[in-house]
Amino acid sequence: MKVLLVDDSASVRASFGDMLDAVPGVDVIGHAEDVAGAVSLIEQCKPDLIVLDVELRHGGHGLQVLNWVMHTRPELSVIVLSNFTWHAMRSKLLAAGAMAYFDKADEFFQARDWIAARAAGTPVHAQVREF
Amino acid sequence: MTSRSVLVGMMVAMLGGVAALIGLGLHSSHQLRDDMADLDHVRDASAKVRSVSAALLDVVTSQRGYLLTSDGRYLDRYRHGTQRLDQQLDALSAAVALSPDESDAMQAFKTLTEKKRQELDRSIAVAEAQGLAPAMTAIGSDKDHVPLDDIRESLERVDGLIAASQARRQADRSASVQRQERTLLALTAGLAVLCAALFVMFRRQAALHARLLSAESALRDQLEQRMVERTAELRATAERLAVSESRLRGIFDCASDGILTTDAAQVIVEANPAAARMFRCSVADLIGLPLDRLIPAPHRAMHRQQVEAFGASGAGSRPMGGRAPGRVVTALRADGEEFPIDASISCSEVSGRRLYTVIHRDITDQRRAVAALRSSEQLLAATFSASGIPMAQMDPATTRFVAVNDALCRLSGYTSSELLTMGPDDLNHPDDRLDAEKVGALLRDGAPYREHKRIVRKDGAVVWVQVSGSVVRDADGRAVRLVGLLQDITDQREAERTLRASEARLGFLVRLNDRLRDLQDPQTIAYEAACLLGEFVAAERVGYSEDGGDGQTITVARNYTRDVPGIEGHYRYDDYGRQLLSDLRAGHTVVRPDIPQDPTLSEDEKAAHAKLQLGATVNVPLLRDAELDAVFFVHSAAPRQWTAAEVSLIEDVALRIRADISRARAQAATSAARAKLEAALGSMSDSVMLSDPEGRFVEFNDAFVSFHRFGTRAECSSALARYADLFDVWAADGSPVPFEQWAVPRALRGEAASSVEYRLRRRDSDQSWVGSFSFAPIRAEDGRILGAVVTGRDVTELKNTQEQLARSHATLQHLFANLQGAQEDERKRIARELHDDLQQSLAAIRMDAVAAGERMAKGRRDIEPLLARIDRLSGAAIDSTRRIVNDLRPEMLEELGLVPALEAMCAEFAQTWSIDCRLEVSGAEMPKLRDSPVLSVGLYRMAQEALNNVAKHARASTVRIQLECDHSGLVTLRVTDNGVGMPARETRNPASFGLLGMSERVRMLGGHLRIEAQAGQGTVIEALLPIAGASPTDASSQTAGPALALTATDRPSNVSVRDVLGRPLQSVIDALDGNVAVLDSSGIIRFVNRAWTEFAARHGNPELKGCGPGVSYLDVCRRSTAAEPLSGSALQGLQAVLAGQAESFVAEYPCQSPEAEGWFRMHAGSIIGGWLIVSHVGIHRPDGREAPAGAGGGGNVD
Repeated sequence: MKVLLVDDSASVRASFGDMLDAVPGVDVIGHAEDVAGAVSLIEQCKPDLIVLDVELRHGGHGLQVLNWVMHTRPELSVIVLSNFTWHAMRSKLLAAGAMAYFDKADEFFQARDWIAARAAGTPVHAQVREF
Repeated sequence: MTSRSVLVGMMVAMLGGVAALIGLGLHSSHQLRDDMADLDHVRDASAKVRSVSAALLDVVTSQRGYLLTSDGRYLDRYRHGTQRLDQQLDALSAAVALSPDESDAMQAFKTLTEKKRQELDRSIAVAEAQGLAPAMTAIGSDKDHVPLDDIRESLERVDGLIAASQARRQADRSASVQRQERTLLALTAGLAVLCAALFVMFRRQAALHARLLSAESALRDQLEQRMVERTAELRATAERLAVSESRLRGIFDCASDGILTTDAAQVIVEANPAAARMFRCSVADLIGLPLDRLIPAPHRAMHRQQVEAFGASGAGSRPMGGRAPGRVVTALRADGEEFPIDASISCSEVSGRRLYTVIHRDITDQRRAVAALRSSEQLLAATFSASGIPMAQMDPATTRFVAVNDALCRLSGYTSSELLTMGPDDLNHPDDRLDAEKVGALLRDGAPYREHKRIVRKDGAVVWVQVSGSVVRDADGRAVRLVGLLQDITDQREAERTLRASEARLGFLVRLNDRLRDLQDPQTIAYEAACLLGEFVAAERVGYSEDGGDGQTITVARNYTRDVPGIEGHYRYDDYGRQLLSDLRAGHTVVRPDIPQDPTLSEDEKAAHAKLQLGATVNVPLLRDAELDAVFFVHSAAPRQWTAAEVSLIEDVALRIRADISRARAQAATSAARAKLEAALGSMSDSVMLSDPEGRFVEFNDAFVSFHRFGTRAECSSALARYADLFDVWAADGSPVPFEQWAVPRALRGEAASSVEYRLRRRDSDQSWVGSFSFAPIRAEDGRILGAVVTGRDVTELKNTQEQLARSHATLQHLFANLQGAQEDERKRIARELHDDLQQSLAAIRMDAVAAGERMAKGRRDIEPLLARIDRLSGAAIDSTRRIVNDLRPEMLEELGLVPALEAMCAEFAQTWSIDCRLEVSGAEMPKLRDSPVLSVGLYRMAQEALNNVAKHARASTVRIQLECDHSGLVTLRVTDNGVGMPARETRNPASFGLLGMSERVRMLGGHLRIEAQAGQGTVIEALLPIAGASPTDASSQTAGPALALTATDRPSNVSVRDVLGRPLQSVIDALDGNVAVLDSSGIIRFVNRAWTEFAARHGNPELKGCGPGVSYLDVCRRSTAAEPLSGSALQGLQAVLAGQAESFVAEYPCQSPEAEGWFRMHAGSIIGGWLIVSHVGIHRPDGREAPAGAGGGGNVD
């Protein structure tokens, strides 16, 4: 399963990328730090899953990427890994089409497990959308 | 031949007659001249004797005057008189006596006079040396005393001798004159004309005897003069006759007197034309006529006999009609008219024939004149004696009466014979003696003599007379008589005296009026009037005393005195006569002319009077409401007969004093009331003006003057209409206010209002201000409008202050907003840094740590790269933390000081932005900055902000930071770049580019910021700051808002805001007119402003119970929710701000407080550390409803 990491922090991309590399069936095909980079890589590499951050480089916002994906490639899976722990932010992105929302500092294990399960073909539940 | 002989004889006779006439004339002329010389001698001697006598009399008078009075003037007169006497005596010695008797008498008189003079000298010497009394004694015992009577007798003897001599000479002279006259009659027919003229003159002046006498003398003089002239003429004529008969004939023909020559038979043989004219026929008619035909028939026979007798006597010539003087011959004209002639006849023998020559003159006119003269004299004499006007004639030499009339006798009480032995000074009052000088002037020059003097009647009574003097002169101008005319003017004098007294009284009352008019003090009025009256009536003591009110005593205040002590004090009425008090109470003036002899007074009472030195008194009662109120008194030390006029005057003065005291008291009361009013008005800072019903300003205070922008009171017109020309007035809404809507006209129409705002503008100076006016009409009890009162207060300053406060408030708000924006930016930046940098690093570290752990658990060995990355990330995280911390609080600044911190900043800036950045430090006072951390921080922050601006906007390649600190006490921070500069409007808009923060920081530090930035030419930002006085407290009190904000930024939130800022923040919010409270982060009120406190106090909560410091404002809002639903939303808003969910909260709400109704705006804004400022401000709603101040805040809690 081809995974694209979209995060403005190079450290996070490196560390989380290393973490995903250790997961069988997961292939991190690229890193993007802003909206434009993300869209470009999605077009080129056709990933199966996008790990998206909320705040992106150059003022970009993860929602922009998510909306674009939902609009052009609704078959793509998008999960959000963010430092924003606010409930409101979580709800907003899930409502916009993200399959899951994880806290970058506390829930990166769950994020890796969610990706691993998906790669293994295990059906994963989408996080309940809260309104 | 015979006829020729007759003719020759006649001619000779005629020649002889004329020669005789000439001889006669010459003789008469010589004789007359001798007579006149004798007469002159007599007159001279007589005059000299009289002069001596007069001089002696004068000397005697002066001596007596001096001895009686010792008045130096008498002595002067005496000296003068003796000198004159000596001169007169010398003159007398030179006089020629005509007879031995006369000479002896004159000598005797002179001797007596000299003796008398020596006697007088002796008495004067004694008087001068030893005094009057010894002099008098010396006079009495003088053995050489010469009685004046002796001198008088001697004088009379001389006088008699001279008079006799004079009479003799006079008679001789008269005879001589008559002779001359007769001679002249024949030659001077023209004199008749003169006589006629004189007659006219006489008749015209018959009333005046003196003039007549003069005229008579003049006539005589002229006769004499004519005589001399005619004599000379005659002589010349004779000489000419001797030369030529024809010339004689001419003379004969031309003579104005008629000349007839008859033969012995008295038949007229020759007549001249004058004779023919006289007898009104022709010469031819006369020739051959018997002479007696020219005489009326009854006298003809006698006439013929007399002529024949004359011819027989052989006398040369004689007057016709007999020798008696004044005999007149009556002649008969041809027409039968009889007329008087003065005729002379002479007889001469010519060739043995007797010829008579008659020279005659018509004296009809002369006779008439003489008759008239006689009747005039009689008339004058009758007038003199019968006149009712007292008259006297005096001899000028003796100045003794020589004639007096009955009127004078009646006036003087003396008989005529008595008076004729007297002179004027025997009648004159001793003080009104004959003024010798004036008499001299009258005699010498005829100077008018008129005097008012007193004469003493025989019975001793004094009579005032007016004496008019005139002088009668003889032909030579010598004074022969002095005529005195007296007029009794006693009544006139009395009338004048009364008039003078009346004038004096009037003058006194005028003076009194003048003196009292401006006096205010009753005591002074009474005293001044007393002084004036005392001087006027010459009283010893005058005063005004007030009744004691106890029915017994009287209180005497300051009184006028002269030569006696004052009697200020209390006195009992009864001590001064039992009758006194009752008389005074009855309103009667009590007059006591002679207290020592007053029978109504007891001895004790007299003694009481004597103690006060009272000889005579006048006491005038002054009643008020029929009660005795005061007594005006006038005292005389000696008994004095008060005249009715004096008493009346004293009463007038008393009433006058009373009236003036009443006036003064009324004035004093009025002026006191006025002074109070003026003081009250003067003490008011508001302009106050009182107007009468016509709009005239009757009173205004000094504030009125300054309020209307006048310099002085004098500039203020009292006519309202004048102000219409000077002022424009607008209402608060800017609409012009017409004159009739001004405050005064409105008030005069009965309107009343308060706090009406008018804007005033002076047209002349263009000054403009806003006044808050209150006005009301002044009404009488019956409701009539008597005037208006208008007060005005200049509220321009208040308005300006309010506007300034509003602006200041807006600035504060703006600053808060900006500050909050800046603060937010800063927070965002820090948050982003934490989020983007630190948080990500930590997340990555954690991921790596977890991965490493898993790998170790699985026994994998490839954990080293992970550990290495963890190490790197941790390092980056530490760096990041430091940077953030440093941004928040420049630790290097605190630890190392400003210069190293700036160096580090420069280095970092250069590295970060690749812009060449250099720091230049100069000045010796740099260490001082260490003592002022606030200043250091300020400078550091300004440098930081300036560099930020350069990095963001300047596009510069180099930037230079200069820090100068010298002895001037100023530190300069200058940041210069070479970038693009700024558009001009940006420098004017300091809110942009972070300049606002910089300028506020500079202001806070008491410094000055200068920005030079022109587009394309780089930017210079220069801050000049004082090294001293940059304490936050001082700065904050200057510009409170910014100080609050910026210091809050400098100080982290863990420092108590109140500790640092309490006082300045308090002063800031106190200046705001809204109600302001500062809450801490938990919503507890920490402090409130003055308006808040006052508002609470107005609503009965001066202790701020339930709404003051220490109370939770959230609780306040919760409690209010029940009464005011809107409080709920306020509560929510406040909570949101407190929770940091909102920076500020604004709500507008209506308020119905007891004192105001309107809308308020509540504003809550965070400041620092979670603290809040809550304000409630009255607002204008867009719908136009007004909101007066005072509502909201803590007050509406209760």
